[in-house]
Amino acid sequence: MAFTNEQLERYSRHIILKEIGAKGQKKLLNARVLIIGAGGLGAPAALYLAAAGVGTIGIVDADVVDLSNLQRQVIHTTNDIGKKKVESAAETMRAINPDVTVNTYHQFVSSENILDLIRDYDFILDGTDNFPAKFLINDACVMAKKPLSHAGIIRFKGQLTTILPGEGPCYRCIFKDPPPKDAVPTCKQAGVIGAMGGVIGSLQAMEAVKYITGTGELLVGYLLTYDALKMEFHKIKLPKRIKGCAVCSDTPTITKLMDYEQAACEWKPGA
Amino acid sequence: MKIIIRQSDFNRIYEHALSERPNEACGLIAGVDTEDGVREIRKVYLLTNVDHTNEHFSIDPKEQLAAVKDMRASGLSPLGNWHSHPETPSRPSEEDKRLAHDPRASYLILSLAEEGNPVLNAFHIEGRLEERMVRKEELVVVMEDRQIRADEKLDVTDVVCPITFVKTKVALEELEEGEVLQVHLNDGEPVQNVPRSVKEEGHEVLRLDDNGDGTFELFIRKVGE
Repeated sequence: MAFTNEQLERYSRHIILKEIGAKGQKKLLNARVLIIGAGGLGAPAALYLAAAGVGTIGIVDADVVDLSNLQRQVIHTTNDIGKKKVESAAETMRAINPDVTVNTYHQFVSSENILDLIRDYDFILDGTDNFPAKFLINDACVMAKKPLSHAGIIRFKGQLTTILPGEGPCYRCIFKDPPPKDAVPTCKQAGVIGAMGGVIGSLQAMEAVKYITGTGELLVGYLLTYDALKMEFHKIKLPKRIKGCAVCSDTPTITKLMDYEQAACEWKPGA
Repeated sequence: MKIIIRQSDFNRIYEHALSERPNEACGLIAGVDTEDGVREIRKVYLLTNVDHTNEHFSIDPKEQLAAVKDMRASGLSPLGNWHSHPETPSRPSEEDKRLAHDPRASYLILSLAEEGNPVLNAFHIEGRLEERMVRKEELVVVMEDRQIRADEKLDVTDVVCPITFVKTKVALEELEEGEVLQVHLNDGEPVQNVPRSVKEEGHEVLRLDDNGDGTFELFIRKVGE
């Protein structure tokens, strides 16, 4: 595949990079990334991956754009309110870069559909906002041996790690089970600073690009945390893969995907 | 040290020296010191002798500065200077020795003493002012450039930076290790940036030739995968 003159210009700042080059850019154009959640994390990640020329981007989200989303979900605009998030996100991505093929999945991930969703993708980016989805995505990626960028944001804090099944700890090696229902507030209850999605979602996109191009060191075996109020990043070394991990060990006890009950999220306006 | 000068550069010095007679003519030389200890002159500068006499020379400082800038832009090192002796043999005069401050420089002297038989020698001069040591260096005039066979050719005169480098880089990635890419590029920003960026990538810049029409030919050998 040869670059068109337009592509040479569009991706010139990538191609100039020693670590990317024409080879790396071709890998990006041939790559397939699935973004689960077109919200605070998924929005910036989708923008950067589309701009980077990731050839195929799948985006999964069952929601429609809500006015309260726009404070942080920068891929949607005021005109998109009421539109399916996946459609709104796809329009923006196609407008940024016509090289990108966008596949939209207007649905929640579940134990029924997740393996089908991730099957055709090279890298999975978790931009969901709840523990049941995060555990489900982790388990599915481990079973299907798909690289995964996990992230979470709340208030002024964010964190992320990269999971390469079989090579480093998985989400379940670190957090065995989801927290008890209502033990941890969701973003809706606790709030989140808008730019936090930009910081952490962009870092997820960065990991995806590094994975695809084979550049640098991934956050495998590390948890990167960011505290915006203290303006501190910490890179925490995680324990090795847990021998008895329920899903990623050699003798897993979880061999079938399950749907944890969604934490009840009682959002009371003005509360 | 062995010094190589191209016949065409020798001719330019000679013609300039003839035209400046009876005064001494002068200029600078630039090029590279290769790994095998050979000094290769790749560009000669014909500059004004502001003394305008037949006994000594002083290079116009403004022209000297411009020449050094040009060397830097072309990726060449200053190697020394040249001047003519319109009536005397090709060896350093006492004045020449006195003014030879740089022990790393090569001093080329072209004698026009014998009509129709120009004699060019290169000298290495070192030591303290009162006791300068002069050593004649081995000067070889080569008829033509070393021929470089290019495996692939690329013209980037129709694009601006950084696309010049982007195209060069993409073309290099298509080559096998050790193959040579010839790039036709414009003077100015392209000729300043592309060779430097190519070196930073770890490739070997074999030669940069001035076509004399505002364009250059850059020969790059691909290094590594």
